[in-house]
Amino acid sequence: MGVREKLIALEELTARKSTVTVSTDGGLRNGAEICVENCRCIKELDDNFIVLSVYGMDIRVSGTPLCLENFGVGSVKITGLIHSLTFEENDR
Amino acid sequence: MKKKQRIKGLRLGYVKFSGIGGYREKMITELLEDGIPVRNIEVTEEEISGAVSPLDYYRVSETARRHGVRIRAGERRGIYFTLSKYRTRVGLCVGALLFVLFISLWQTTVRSITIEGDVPRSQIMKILDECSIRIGASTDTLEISKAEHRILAEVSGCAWADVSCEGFRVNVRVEKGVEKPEMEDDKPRNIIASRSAMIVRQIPRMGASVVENGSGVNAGDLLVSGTVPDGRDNILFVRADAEIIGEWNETREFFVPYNETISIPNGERKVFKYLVYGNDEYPLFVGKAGAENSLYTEETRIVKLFGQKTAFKLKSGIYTAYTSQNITRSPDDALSELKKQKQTFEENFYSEFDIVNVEERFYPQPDGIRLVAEYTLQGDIATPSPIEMGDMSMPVPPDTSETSDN
Repeated sequence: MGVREKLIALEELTARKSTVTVSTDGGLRNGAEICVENCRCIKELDDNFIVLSVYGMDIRVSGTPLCLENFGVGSVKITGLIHSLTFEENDR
Repeated sequence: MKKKQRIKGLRLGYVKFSGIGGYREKMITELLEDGIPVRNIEVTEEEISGAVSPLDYYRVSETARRHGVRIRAGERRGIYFTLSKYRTRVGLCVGALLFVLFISLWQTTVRSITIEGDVPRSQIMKILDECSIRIGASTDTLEISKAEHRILAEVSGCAWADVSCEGFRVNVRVEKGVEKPEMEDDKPRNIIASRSAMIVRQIPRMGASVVENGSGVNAGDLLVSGTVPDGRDNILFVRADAEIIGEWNETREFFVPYNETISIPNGERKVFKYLVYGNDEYPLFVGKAGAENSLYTEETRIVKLFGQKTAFKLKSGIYTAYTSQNITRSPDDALSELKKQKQTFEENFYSEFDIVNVEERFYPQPDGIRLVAEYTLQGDIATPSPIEMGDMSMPVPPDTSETSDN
């Protein structure tokens, strides 16, 4: 494996790792904040459901009402009253 | 009711947008990949809304169009739009530009020099001037470290000096060190005569006196010896101390001519005015203040506006030129001038002595009057002289030597 291939593999390696941070300021009833890094795409976007795709997994967030913000490349923040957070395996 | 959310992170302001139809998810995904920050994305069944920076709105609308989302701009807020309102006001733009230019240029030249510390201001100003630090000088050309070194080297007793330039103001801080206290030397010494005189009285405090009252001494003669016998054929070295009052005569001559040319400051007056605010002085004239061969006086008064005192002062520097005038004195005027000269001389040179007697003799001459004054003065003529260790001579009082001879 040449240097170029190694660099591509290294880049892909970092893209495979995704971090999800859930912060609740004063309890879930007052709203929560979910930050997802290395988000590949947004599969579904609705008032109550947001499905994000990360490497090898879909993150399904349900809540009322959900508000999405992006900051930087591949990083999103979801705020609102979160009801559930589901991780589903996808084909990649 | 829906809580109004604050939009953070968009420093220049924001544009709220709303869009309908199309592939909203793809649009947001593309914006995410492009790194365009979109805030408060909210999606209902029909529409999507959010807020973006005014600089990114064009790219957002392009992205939306590509994905079939029809968007329209809503609320616009922020400094970007506030400034945009004034973009046609040329006067405001030019004024703001001139203000920035004025502030920038103002900071490139020295406008004020402040000196702190108990030091002669004229000496510091002279050093600063020689180091290119003067009012009106460019702040790029200031030789600050050289000025600091010169102040340290040239100002007597200077322990620490700091010259700094902040904006258009140069601050000079000079601290003087605590002077070394005068230490009393405990080395043995003699007391010798500082001038030729007749001894009138003496108060020896330490040592052995070798002179008597009424005797005459020459300058340098030993008055009190620091080598004292202890009565057991030993010699003690002491630090002689005494007050030896001597009397001597001095003759002084004074002369006042009848006709004389003198310089009197009553010529042309040049007035230079400054507006003073705090420690700053602003000249109200063009050019450099000063006049040759002149007497300088200064007047300062508070500026009043409608009878009320203001924080400003008006300083007037007045240069009055000296003019030469021929004066002719009468004999009486010449005599009074002579007495004035004599009194000034006594105040300047005989203030340390007691004037016991003065014999005045006036000699009229064709061009003036000459005064010869013979002073009889009394004063302390004792001056210390260190004992050389090779000098082991014993004090020899006059009567003691005669006794030993017998």
